[in-house]
Amino acid sequence: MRRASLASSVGRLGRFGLAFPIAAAVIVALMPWLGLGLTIQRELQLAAIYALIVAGFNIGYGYGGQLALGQVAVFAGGAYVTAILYNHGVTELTIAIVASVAFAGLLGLITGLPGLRFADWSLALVAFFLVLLIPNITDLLSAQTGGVIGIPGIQGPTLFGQALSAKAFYVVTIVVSALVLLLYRNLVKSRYGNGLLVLRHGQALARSVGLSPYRLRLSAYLWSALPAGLAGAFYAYFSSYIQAGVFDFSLVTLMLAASALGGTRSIWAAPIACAILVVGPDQVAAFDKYSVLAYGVLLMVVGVGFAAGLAGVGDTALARFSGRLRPRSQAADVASDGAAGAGRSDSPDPLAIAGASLSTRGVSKAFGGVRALCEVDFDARQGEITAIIGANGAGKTTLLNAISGLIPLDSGEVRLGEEVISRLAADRIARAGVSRTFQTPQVPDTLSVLDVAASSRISRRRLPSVEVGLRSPRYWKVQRQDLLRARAALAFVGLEHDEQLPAVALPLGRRRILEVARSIAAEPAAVLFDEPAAGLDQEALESLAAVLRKLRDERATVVLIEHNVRFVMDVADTVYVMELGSVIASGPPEVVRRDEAVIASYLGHRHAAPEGPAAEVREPAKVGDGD
Amino acid sequence: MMTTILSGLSDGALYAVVGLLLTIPLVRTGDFNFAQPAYIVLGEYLLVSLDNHHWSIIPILIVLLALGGVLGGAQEVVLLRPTRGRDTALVTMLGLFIAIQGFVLAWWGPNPESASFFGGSSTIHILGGVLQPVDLWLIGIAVVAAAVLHYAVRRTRWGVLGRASMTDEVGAGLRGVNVPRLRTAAFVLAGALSAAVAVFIAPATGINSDNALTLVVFAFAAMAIGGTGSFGGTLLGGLAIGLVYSFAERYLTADWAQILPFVILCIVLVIRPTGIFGVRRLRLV
Repeated sequence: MRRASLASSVGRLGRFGLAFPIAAAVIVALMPWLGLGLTIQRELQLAAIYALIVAGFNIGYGYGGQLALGQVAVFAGGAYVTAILYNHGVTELTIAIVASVAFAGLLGLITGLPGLRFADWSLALVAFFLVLLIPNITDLLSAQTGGVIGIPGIQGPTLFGQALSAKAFYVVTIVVSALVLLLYRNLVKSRYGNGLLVLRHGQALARSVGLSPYRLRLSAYLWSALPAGLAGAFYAYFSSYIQAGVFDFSLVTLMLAASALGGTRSIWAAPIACAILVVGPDQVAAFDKYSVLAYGVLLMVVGVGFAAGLAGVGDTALARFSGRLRPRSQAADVASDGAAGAGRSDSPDPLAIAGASLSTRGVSKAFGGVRALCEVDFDARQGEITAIIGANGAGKTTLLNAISGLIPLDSGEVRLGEEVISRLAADRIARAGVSRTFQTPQVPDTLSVLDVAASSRISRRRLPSVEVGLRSPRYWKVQRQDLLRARAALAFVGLEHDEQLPAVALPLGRRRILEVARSIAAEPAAVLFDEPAAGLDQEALESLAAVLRKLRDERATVVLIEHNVRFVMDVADTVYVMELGSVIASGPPEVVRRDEAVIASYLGHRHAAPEGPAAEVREPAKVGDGD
Repeated sequence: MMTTILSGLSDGALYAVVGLLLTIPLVRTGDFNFAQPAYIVLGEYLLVSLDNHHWSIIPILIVLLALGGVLGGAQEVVLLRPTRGRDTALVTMLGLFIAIQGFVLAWWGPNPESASFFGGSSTIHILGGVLQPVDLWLIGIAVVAAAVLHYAVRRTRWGVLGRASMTDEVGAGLRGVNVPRLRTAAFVLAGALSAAVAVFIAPATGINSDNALTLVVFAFAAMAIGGTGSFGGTLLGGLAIGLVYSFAERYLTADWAQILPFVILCIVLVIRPTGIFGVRRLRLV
């Protein structure tokens, strides 16, 4: 069993097109024996070291969307830790690496802390301030760091007690860097990277699929700091002389430029971009004078429009070459694998969407003086579609947001089954089993349809990110199950033929349907739909109604907020009518339709007539509802 | 003692001036224009070149105002409009910051320059302390600029339009406010003033391409400590930082003078994200 999974892991490696990066790493590692000059050898070694920093930066920026530029400070920290250890007689590279990486993790968490609360530019400025202070801090600690003079003469590391020659150290640097880049590539091309992209799209979306923004951000800072610490350890022995002046803004500039040149969401392009920026100035003498200017222009160009860098150029070329545009999706990696998994799935119907009852008691919420919700009692039962209708400002979306935890309640209680969920954070509520869709579909523009559907499963079964990076057998198992469920959810709503499309390529109606697929892929106990019918044409409405009925038949708990009265009366089993934050009527559609209060406040007399010609039934105006 | 206070106030006024100039586009467009302090450095080098050609101060100021205005407007139109609201906006501004630094390095070289102040350099004695005319000017400019901007944003039609377009961009647009033009105008104004203020900052700090980073970081600290988005708060935050800096330099070490403002910045950011004097809530989140 174990051997089988190992064999299939190796088999998968081949399928991912890892052959080229691995071959490249091997060739670069063997270069000293292929007649490589010493200068260029040292430049490649430096590029490999820088590539570690850039790969970390890309996790924080390209995926996390936050300009966490503390990397240079972390790099300096790692280098100083290694150099100080050397001064205390510790030359063992493994110890230096462990200590430097541990220190880097600590620094990464500390410098990341402001980022949990502040906008990206505050985070960047705090990081720049820290970089500016490196000379001052090392000066204060001059007993250990050598102050202005620095730490000279860091010679020859040992590996497991054996002294490393310059050549051997070169090989170690290249191999370790390549392995770390492989780990990072695995990390970003996975549920973890997709989770970051979901968070990048928006906190509300992330929390609604059960991802904790704090946790995710902190882990991104941690992951982006660690390779910088490793790079610091290598750098200390590489340069044999550590001095504060090296770790300045120009290094930040170089890292930014390398990231932009390679592509902020590519890991493999990082070493190539670093090699260009390290070796290039040496080959073109004039470049030195204009390098900073060129880096600045590069960043502007990348920022304004060509964000994919070299990796984007490579992808486009590859796509032209292979004649089809493949979305860069982790799902594509395991596509064939998932299909195989579907074949040997344990049950014919893998989605468990039978719901639990959802109820609110005395729920109130005021915004300033406006009572948005006033003592709302609401019940949704499994196997039923429960709809909430009401004019603009009646409190429908507020109720939905209150149930899903996006706004805190003033008083009252929300129960899912027997569990009280009203005091939990939004992401905990989502993990407890409440899924939802949004009025404006929230679809990250970098994910494929299948990835979007699977994104609600990331938090269903948490995996340590290390396991994701190392592609443990458990990862593959969870991944297979996730994709199985995501595909089942797509098939449930009829999107199974679009799974490899970029999600943003879908028209509005199908994006809504995709949100439905995402919410049921999580196998929720209750699904909340926020105006799913808005802006849909007749055909899309019918397929939406079919999906809702199918959900009901599978005994799901479905809550529907809608303006389209005809649609609601058509599909709902129970209808709640809200006005100014209160429920004014509830019951089966035919009862509510005849309720005098409802007719007076909302439906008007034409809607009330059950035999009235359907074509004349108009939905009330709904500009700007739910703001 | 008095000299320490005075030098702290003039240093602080310098950071406050840069912070005030950064606050203009911030309150009118929501953008923290990272590149703007680089305009100052560009202005400083240009000042030296023109000075070497024996230009007098008025034409120099006109050239700097024009250059900064054009640069600011171009930045807004070419770089910021396509990226506004996306997370590449910051990288774009950083790119311009680095490009201007790179241009300065390529054109004038890495050596520091110095400029004399047009208002002379005879020392002035106040309450037993000494300072230079340029220091006095900077303090005056910071106070006057903070007061004028505060008034302009609250009481003038220009200020109301800007606040309207910040609060509800679409709504303001539908009521006939030309929001894009307001935004460009804010960048033109801030850019022009940034380049021009170089004639005061260059004599006070010396001229070095690295100064741009120090300026942006300390100005940010002034803004964040005082209250981001508030002109009065930025002035007070700048003065507070200047005083901390100058007392730490006098009674501790030069290292602590750099580190303490950072420590205070971090504490304020964590404990009171709106800044000590922050009343207006320009959300950092």
